[in-house]
Amino acid sequence: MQPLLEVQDLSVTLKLAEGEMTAVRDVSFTVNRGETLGIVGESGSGKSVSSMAIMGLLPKGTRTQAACLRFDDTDLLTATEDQMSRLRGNKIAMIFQEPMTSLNPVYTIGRQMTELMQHHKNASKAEARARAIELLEKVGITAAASRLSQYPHQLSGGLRQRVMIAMMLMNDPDLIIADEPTTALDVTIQAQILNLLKDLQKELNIALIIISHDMGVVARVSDKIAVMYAGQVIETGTVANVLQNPVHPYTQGLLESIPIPGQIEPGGELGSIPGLVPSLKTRFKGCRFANRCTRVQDACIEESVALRDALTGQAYRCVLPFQDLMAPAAPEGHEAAGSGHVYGSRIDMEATPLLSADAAECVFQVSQGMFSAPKPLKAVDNLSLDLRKGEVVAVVGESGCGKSTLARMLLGLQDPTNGKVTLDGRDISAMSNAERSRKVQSIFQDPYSSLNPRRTIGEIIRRPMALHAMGSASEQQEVVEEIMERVGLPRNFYHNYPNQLSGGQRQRVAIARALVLKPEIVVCDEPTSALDVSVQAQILNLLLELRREMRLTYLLITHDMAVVEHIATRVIVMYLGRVVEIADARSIFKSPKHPYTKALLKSVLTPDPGAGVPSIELGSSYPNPIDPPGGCTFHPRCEFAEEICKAKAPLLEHLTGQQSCACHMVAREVV
Amino acid sequence: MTTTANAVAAMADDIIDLTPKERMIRKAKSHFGFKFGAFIVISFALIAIFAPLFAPHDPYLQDLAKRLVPPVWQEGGSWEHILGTDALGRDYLSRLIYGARISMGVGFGAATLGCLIGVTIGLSAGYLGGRVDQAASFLLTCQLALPSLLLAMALVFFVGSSVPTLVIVLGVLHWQYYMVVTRTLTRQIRSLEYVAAARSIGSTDRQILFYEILPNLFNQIIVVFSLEMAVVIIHEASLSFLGVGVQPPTASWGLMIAEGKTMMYFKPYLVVIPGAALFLLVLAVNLLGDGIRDITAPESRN
Repeated sequence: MQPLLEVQDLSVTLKLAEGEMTAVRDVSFTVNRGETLGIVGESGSGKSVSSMAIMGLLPKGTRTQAACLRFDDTDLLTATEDQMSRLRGNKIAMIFQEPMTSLNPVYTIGRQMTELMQHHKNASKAEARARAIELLEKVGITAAASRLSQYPHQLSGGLRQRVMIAMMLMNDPDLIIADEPTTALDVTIQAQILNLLKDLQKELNIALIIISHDMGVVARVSDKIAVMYAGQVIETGTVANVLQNPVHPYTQGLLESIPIPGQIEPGGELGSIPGLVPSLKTRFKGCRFANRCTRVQDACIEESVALRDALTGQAYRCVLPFQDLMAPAAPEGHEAAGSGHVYGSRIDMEATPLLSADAAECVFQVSQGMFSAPKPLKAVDNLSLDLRKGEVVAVVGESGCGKSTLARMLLGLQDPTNGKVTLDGRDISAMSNAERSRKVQSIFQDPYSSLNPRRTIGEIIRRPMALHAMGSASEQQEVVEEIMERVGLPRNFYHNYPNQLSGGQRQRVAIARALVLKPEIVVCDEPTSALDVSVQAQILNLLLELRREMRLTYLLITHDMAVVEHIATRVIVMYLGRVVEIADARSIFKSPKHPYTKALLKSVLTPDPGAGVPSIELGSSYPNPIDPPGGCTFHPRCEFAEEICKAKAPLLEHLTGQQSCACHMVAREVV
Repeated sequence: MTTTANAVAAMADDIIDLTPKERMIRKAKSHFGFKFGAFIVISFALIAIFAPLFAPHDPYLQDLAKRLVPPVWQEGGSWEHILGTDALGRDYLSRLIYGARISMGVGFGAATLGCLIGVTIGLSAGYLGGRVDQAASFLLTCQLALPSLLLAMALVFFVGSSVPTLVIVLGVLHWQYYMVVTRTLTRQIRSLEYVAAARSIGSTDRQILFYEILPNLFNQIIVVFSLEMAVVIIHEASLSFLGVGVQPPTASWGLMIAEGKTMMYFKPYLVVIPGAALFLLVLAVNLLGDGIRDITAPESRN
């Protein structure tokens, strides 16, 4: 039987203002009905361009070449625009990353769903409507008929993605391409959507291509996997083969750089791949991974390699024989550098806290329209927290839980509405900017917006010293150069602008700026969520090293439990502005108490082939913080909820050691 | 092959090692629009400043015997009056040179004043938001509802016509675009993380406005400035044309067009020459504005 989709030696050349760029070169894969192919790669690896080439959605002026690009009976290379548009949305459907922008906000979802079917299948309105309702029910949307008259903005992100999937199923496609389908969603929703896709695929016997940067996602849902790097497939095979016995040094490095709960010695370093993904504008000669490879040879630089078979069942692109590659590499000397002391051993829990919040509350007045009275939104509700010297406290929660507002309060950028935040025993709002900023500094989430594009790297790092008039200009420059070297930035970046740097390098600049005043506490707001996996590991390692060297205290804000286990000593789990559980890191991972904490832990997708996606039984989606449920705010999503949960909000109760939990059911030992 | 690759790599390293200033000079040297615009604007400015040195005749001296002498390239023209004379026998080239003083002075002066007003209002509205923003937007709506040329005429008429009055009146009436542009951009930038980062390293509001936000508005302000300057010069010409701007016998390009209009069909050069000068200046200012934007923007690498 011939495969449904066959791609052989696909190359795509994009036309840019500065010349041509080959975004994809010699990419081959096939997908059968009922099969899932996962394409995994970092940003700029060409994974999205490949899928756009299949859909015929590349911009004009793009050159697509292939030995074979065939879907079912259609040759996609020679297909006319008319033929293509009959395939798109009909036989081949695509699910995009951002459900808000891929649904048209001015039409009801009913109209958008039925239009496709009426257009492609000449179905009557009633037929299309019936089918839409049927599919919405199939993707797990309740009250489907009434949803048809709703607009996209009335639905939550998870619901929108479900609608998107239902919409793509309207015409019985044979192939679904899902480009980062869960990246924009919260971790607890991600598992639900992946399970849904997987179930539908089995039931309807469709071919599925999942494109993702997240090894965990791909590993859990795919049958086959293609690892892409700099526009080429560098390793491909069945998921079990590739992930359990990776052959290519890049795949090996990528897998090592993913923090896996329970596998890494706490405080130890993650494996990471040195260097950066090369720009696709480079004229490549030889192996594209050569400049980052630990096993690089002369031959790698000279000639390019073709994909070849390893006896283990996968194909890889490397000059070395697979037997050599699979032998363990020479010890790199990075392990054991941590000597595992992140956990509480050296932290004096009796010491006076450096930074503490005492029943802090932050309420915003949100007006929902011109004439309605503003409603209060409790972003942070009655939160107390102590940060002692040397600790790494992680605040975990999904978007909208108030963790970023908490960070702003602790930085003194947002005054609490009630309660207070004290730094070294003094009220932080009474401190001057200068005094406060020497003690607390921050690293922000998005390195693309946290650096002023009009200032050079040197100016940016030096700015804090200039503001506080520390030393002469030449002394300042010396300090800047010293710290640039420390965070791993080449000296000649001094006069560069941020746009000339990659994401990881920018984040290093942000770290350098935060450390130049020698603060005691650094608040890191999702410091790695905007970075690629291999770069994330570099940055986490750097943060840990700096902490050891400079005796820093971190407050880490994140949604990613895997990162938390790797670096935190204490964990605070937040839900809708309240703390639901607080404990030392060991207890959180060994014996989580709160149902929400358990769900979060379950949502971590390790690259474990064939393990499937864990089902997370969180009923409805994340509530709107402006209209939180009464009693325990978690009760509508909690499987253990009883009458008392709806009536009375639970208080944070001390359990054992450092662990406290706010749950009626835990207090009664039901859970 | 290898040598070219090496050369490309070497060039890239070279660019990285330059200081921002050196990089800017390098970019300026290879930017045609910038060079052309700068050349025209600077020469016009020099001619205006040193008008007595350049003007071959007294621009106010009337000689009725020599009225309406055509320019040198037309039949009956002479080298004595290269661009001819006007209806009162005044040398047209001299009047054009002296007129550059008024047109450029009013243009730069009023555009700068408008820029100061508009950027100040826009920055405060965008950064502070809330009531300030509402007030500023209300002011803007009012201003947009007024016919500005009519208002300028009325104001100049009441205050009395003089060059400083013109600059002030035109400046006060041309701040809207600056305000709209700065307000929107400031609102966007205010919510970016580098502003929060600046605050967390201890910057005050003032330092944030001037060090972090304003430099990022520079590109857009320059473009608006070059557009507004052209608009202001044309408005000054309109006011002079309507008789409330510069008063005769002072020369201004607008006034020259106004005086020439009655004879436009018989002696077209009376309108074409000052019109061409105006066109060239406006074009040069626009090119210069675009050039400055391209050169100073760190985003464009070439």
